[in-house]
Amino acid sequence: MAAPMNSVAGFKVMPVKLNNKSDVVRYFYYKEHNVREKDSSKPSDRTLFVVNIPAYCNEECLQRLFSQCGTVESVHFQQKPGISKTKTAVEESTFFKQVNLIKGYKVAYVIFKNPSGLQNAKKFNYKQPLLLSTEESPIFAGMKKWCKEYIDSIPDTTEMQKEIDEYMANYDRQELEEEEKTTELEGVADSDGWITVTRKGRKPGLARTEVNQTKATVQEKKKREKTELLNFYRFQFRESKREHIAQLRKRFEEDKEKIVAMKAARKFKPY
Amino acid sequence: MKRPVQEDNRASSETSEDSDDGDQIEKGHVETVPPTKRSKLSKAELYKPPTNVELTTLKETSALYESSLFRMQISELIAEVTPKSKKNSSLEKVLHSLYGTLDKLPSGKQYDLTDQSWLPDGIEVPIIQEPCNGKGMFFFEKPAAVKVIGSYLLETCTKPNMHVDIVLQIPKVCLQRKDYLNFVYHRKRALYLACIAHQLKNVDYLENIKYSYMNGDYFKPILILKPSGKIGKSYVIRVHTCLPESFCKLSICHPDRNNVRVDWFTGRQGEPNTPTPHYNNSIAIDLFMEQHLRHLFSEMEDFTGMREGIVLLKVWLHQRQLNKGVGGFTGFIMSMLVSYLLSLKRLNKLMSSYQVLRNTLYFLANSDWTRRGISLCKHEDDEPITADYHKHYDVIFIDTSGYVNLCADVSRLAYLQVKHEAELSLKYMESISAVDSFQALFMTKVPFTRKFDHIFHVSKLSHLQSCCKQFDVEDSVSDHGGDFVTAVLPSIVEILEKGTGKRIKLFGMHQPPHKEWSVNEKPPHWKDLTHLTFGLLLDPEYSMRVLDMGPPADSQEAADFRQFWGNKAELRRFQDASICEAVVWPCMTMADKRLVCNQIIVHLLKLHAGIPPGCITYLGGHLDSLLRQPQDEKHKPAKKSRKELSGTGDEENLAVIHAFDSLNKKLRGLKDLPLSIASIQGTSPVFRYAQVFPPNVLHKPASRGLRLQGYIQCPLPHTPSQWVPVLKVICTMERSGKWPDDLLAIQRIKAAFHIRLSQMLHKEYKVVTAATDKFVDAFVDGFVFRIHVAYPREVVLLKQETTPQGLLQLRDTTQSLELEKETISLPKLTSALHSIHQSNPTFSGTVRLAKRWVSSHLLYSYLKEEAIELLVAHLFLNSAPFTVPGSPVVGFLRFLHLLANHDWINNPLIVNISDNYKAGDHDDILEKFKCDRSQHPAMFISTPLYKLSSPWTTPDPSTQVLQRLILLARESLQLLEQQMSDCYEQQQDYKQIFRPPVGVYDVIIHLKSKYLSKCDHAIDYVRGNVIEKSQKGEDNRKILPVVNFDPAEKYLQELQ
Repeated sequence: MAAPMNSVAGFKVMPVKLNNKSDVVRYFYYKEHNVREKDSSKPSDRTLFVVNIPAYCNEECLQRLFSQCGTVESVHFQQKPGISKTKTAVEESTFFKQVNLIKGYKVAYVIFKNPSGLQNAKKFNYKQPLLLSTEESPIFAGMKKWCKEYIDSIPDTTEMQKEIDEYMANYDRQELEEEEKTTELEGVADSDGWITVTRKGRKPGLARTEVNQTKATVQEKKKREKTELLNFYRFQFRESKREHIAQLRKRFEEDKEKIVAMKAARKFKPY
Repeated sequence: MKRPVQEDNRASSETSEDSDDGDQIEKGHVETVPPTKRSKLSKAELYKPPTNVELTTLKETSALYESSLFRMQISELIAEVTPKSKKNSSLEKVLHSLYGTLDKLPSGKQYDLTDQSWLPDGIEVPIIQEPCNGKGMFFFEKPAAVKVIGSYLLETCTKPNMHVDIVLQIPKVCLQRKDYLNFVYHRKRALYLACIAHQLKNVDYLENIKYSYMNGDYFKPILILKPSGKIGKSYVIRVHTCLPESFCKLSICHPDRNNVRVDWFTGRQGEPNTPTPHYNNSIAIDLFMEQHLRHLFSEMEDFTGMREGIVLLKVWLHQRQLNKGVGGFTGFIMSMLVSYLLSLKRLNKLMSSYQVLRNTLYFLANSDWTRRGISLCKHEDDEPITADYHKHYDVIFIDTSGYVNLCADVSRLAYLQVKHEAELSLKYMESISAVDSFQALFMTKVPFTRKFDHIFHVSKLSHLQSCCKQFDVEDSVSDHGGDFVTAVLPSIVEILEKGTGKRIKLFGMHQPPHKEWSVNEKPPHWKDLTHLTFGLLLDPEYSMRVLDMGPPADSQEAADFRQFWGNKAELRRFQDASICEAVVWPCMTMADKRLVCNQIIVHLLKLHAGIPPGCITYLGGHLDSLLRQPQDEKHKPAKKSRKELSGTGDEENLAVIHAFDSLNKKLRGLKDLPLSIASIQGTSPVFRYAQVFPPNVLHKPASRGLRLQGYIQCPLPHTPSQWVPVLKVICTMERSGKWPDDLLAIQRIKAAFHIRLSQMLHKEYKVVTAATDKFVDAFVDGFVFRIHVAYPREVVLLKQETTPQGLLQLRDTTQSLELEKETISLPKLTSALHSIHQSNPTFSGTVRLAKRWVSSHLLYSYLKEEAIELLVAHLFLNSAPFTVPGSPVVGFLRFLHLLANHDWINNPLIVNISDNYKAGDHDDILEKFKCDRSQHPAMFISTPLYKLSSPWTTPDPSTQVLQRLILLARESLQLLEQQMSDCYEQQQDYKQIFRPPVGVYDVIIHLKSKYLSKCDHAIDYVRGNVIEKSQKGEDNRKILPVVNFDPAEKYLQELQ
C-alpha cells in the first residue's frame, strides 16, 4: 500500500477504516468550501467540503471524526456537490420524513461552529487511519443493518396517530384562517381599484389552468368552423379534388419510402 | 380498360431488370422509384395535373389491392422469390446438352425383369421390389420424347429449391400389354431411370445425380440432377417419366379396378381381388402428365394475376410446411385448384394476384373435399364420377381427364390442415390491416413445433405392421405395395380422433421426409422410418375434461363403448340419476388435467394398435417441472399431501385469489370508515396469475429464534427466516371535498386511514394487522396482504405546477409517474391480464415460463415483469398466423420467437389490451414512433393506456440488454425445438435452456456485477417481507448465502 499522502490536488487526505479488524484503508478528501454561488446554509469560512464518502457512512460518524478539530455544527450529505435543493424541513416529524436516498458514494458539507475548526482541520496531520465504527456509535452493515432498518420501519401507531391529529388540527386551522381571509377580501377593491376574483363569490371565475385554456380554444375553433361553407363554390370543389389526388400521391410516396426502408431491412426474404 | 396499364408496368419493369440485374433496389415499380433517394415531393409536383395512366394506377390500387403499401409489398415479395430473369442462359445450356445426350442414348439388350445382374456396378434400382417375382421383359431405348414441364415453364418457380421438371416418355417398344399389372410398370420405370442415371453419370455439365422419391411416394422414384457450376446452387433438374397415351385402356385406371393381384402379392390363392385405387392412380398420373401441363398453360395465358397468385400461394404453403413431406399439398395441386376456380368463374382474368390468393383461400376454407370432391372434368358417361372416388379416397380433386385424383396421396389430415390454415388466414386478413396480414401470411414461418399445442412422437413403427390385420387394411397394404405405415395410418387416426373427441380441434401429422440418396445406394425402405410425429391443436373449452360420458348402460351402444375403451370403461351414476358408461381419467392437478389427451392417446394406442407406452413420447408438459414449487420440504417431516407438492402453481394461485376475495369482502364490510372505498385491486403479479411461484399458505405456529416486537415478528441477523412475500393491494378511496389539497396533509390522512383500517380489521374480524404510514399489512387466510390507501387526486396534485404567469399546468414528474403507475396503471393492467387469463387458462403458465426463462438468464432486473406480461399478452391477443396458444409450452416457444424476431428497431409492439384502440391510433403510433425513434426506449410496447409512451420498458432494457435477450431467445428457441423434434430417440434435458451461461459472467467483470446486483435483488426480497407471528423453517428460495454480502461491495456494484 502506498504511503498515505497528505494532500492531493488541493484536497487534504484523511485515512479512515471501518473498524479495528478491517485491513482496507479508505481516504476521505476534503478542502475548504469555496464556491462562487453563495449559500447561506454553507458559510464559506466555516464549511468543509468532503468527498469520497462510502454509502454506509452517516452524519453522526463524520461529526465524530471532525470533532477533534473543533465543534461541528451540522453535516449534510449530497449526491453531487452544488446547492442542495431540498431545504431542511422546517418542522421535524418523527414519522413523515422526506426521505432523500443517496446511492453509492456521496459528498458531505461539514459546518463547524466557528472558523477556527476549519483552520484546524486544514492543518491537521493524520498519523493513522481513523475508525469509522466504534463501540459507542457502531455502523451496522449487511444483515444487521437490514434487521435494524426493518425494526425501525415499524412505527408506534398511537404516537403516530397523535402526531397526525395534531398536524391535521393545525392544518385545518390554517385553512380556516385562509378562507376567512379570502371571504373578507371578496369584492373589496385594493388600493389601485382592482378586485380579486376568487372562487368563493357569487360569480366564481374559471380557474386559470392549462386544461381550461385549451378547452376554450377548441370551442372557439369549432364555432368558427360551423360558420364556414364547404364545397360550395366551384373553386372549392376543384380545390378539394386536387387536394385528394395530392393526398393519394403523398401517401403513395410515403409508402414507397417505407418499402425502400423495409427492403433495406431485408423484410422480403420469407425464408 | 385496366389491362393495358398493368401490362405496361410489367413490361417496363422487365426491361429494366434486364439492363441492370445486380441492383436490387431498382427492381419492381420502375416507373416510380428513381435511383437516387428523393426525400419529399415538391409542392409543384404534388399538385400537377394527373396523367391518365397515373389516375388509373391509383384507382386500380384501391380497387384491386387493399392499399398501395400492400401492393408494393406483394410485388417485392414476388420479385424476391421468383428467379430474376425468365430465361437463364446457363440453365438453358445445360438443358440443351442434356437433351442432346438423351437423344443419342444407345439401345440396350433385352432382359428378364427379375434379372437385374446386367446393371453396371455403382447403380442401384431405386425401387423396393417386394415380392421379388414379376413377369415381363425390360429393354432400354432412348426416350420417345423429352419435355420440360411444371413450374419452370409456367414461370411459377419459387425459391428456395427451384427445380426444372423434365419428363421422359418411355417409348412404346419398351412396354408390353400387361405392364400395368403387379407393379411391372413401376419396376420398368425404375430400371429405366437407373439406365439413364448410368448414362448421365459421367457427363461434365452435371455435378451429381441422386435418386429421390416424388412427394415421398415409394413407387415413384425420380432422378435429381444437379448442374455443375453456379447454376447448380439455385436449380436442380428433376427427371420424371411418363407413358404414351396408348399404354393401356383408360378404364384400367378406374378406381374400382384391381391391378395388383392378391395371389401375386401375398402368395395365397383363391382370395377375391379388391380394388387398388392408389395403384391405379399412380399409373394414370403418368399417362396424363403432359395433358395437365397443357391445361395449366392454356389457362394461364394472358393472366399474370394467376401466375403471381400461384407464386403467393406457394410461398404461403411453404411457410406453413404444408407442401413438404409425404402426402403434402403440393404447388401443383394448388395450381390446378386455381385453374379449377377459373373454370368455375370464381376468378376472372382481370384479377390481381391478391384477389387470386384471397379467392383461393376462401374456396379452400369453405369447401370440403373429403365430403364433396371437386372435379375439373366435364363428365362423360364412361368416366368414373366423384361418387366412385369417394369410396376409395379421403380427399378428392379430379383432373381434366376424369381418371386421376390429384389428391390421392394427400392424407385427410394434411388436407384438413390446409383447410384450417386457409380459414385462419382469411380470419386474419379480415381482422387486421392488410400490411400486418402480409407479415402473418407470407413472412412468418409456421413450424410444426410452434403450431401445435401438444406433440407426440411414435417410434418403433414395426408395431404398426402387426396391427394391419386388426384394422382390416390388408387390401390397402397391397394397394400401397406393402407400405403398411401409409395403409394403417388412417385407421389409427380415426381411433385417436374418436377417443379424444371434442378436446382436439385439429390433428396434424408429420413424417420425416426421406432424403435424396445416391445412385449406388439402396432405396430407403418404409421400415427405415424412425418415427411419426403427431400434433394436437386443443380446444380450450373441452381439452381439460376428465370424464367422457358414454351411452346408458342398457343401450346397445354400451358394448361398443366398452370395446372401444377396454378396461377404462366403467359404469357410473350421474347426478340426473342416469346410469351410463363412462371413462374417467384420474387427474390430481391442473397440470395433469392439461395432459388428459396424453393419457387417452397412450391408452388407445396400447389397446388398439398394440403400441407400448414406451414408444410414445408425449410433449406437452415437459417444461412443467420448472413451474413446480421447489421441493425443499422433502427433507422435513412436514406432512403435506402429495398433491400440494406436485402442482404447477395453478392451485396455489387460486388459493391466493380466494384469500384476496375474502379480504375484499372484509374491507367492504367495514361500516365506520369516514369515506367509502371506491375500489380494491391487487397489483402484485400473483393477481395477474403471473407470479412464477405463487406464495404458499402459511399456517404454522410461531418459530424459534425470531424476535418479537409486540405481536410483530422481526428478523435477527443470524437466523434465516422463511420467505413470505407480501401481496400488494391498492385500496382507492372515494373522492370527497374532505380531502385536503395539500400533499403533506394527504400523506397524514392516508396514514390515519392505515391506522384506522388496521384497528378495524383487527376488531371486527380478528385479523392480525400492522399499520405504518405507507401501508397496512393484513394476515388473511395464510397470506400477507399489504394494503395501500390511494387517492386519485394525489397524482394530479403532484403534477401541478404554476408558471410565472400564474397559469396552472399539469406536467409529469418522476414522483407523479411513479404514483400513477402504482395506483392507476398497475390495477388496470392487472384487471386486463386477469381477464385474458380467464378466457385463456394457459396464459398463466406461459407468463410464468417466460419469466422463469428471463430470470434464469439473470436479466430479470433489466426487463420489467410487466413488460414480459405484455409480451405474452400480445401472443394471446394477436396470435396470427397461429391460433391462440393452447399449452404453456407452445406459448413459451412463441414468446421466444416474438422476442427474437420482432423488429424492435423499426417497429413498436402494439398490444391491444381489452381492444381499446381507435381506428386511426395504429397509424398514429407508427408515425410518431418513426418520427423520433431515438427518443423512445429500445423496446417499445404500446398499450391503449399508454399509446405513445412505453412506461414498462423505460429506462430498461437498454439496447445492449435487448440484444443479449434477442440472442439468448434465438438460441434457446432453436435448442428447444431441436430437442422437441429429436426426443423420440432419447430423453432430453429440457432444463438446459434455463441454465444461464455463468461462464461468461465469471470472465467479464461487468457482467459479473450484474449477477451480483441480481443477488442484491434477492436480498431485498428477504428483507422487506419477513413478518407476522407464524413462520418456521428455511428459505425455500436460494437466497440464504447471499446474506453474507458486504454492503460496501453491494453499493459498489450499484454504482457501476
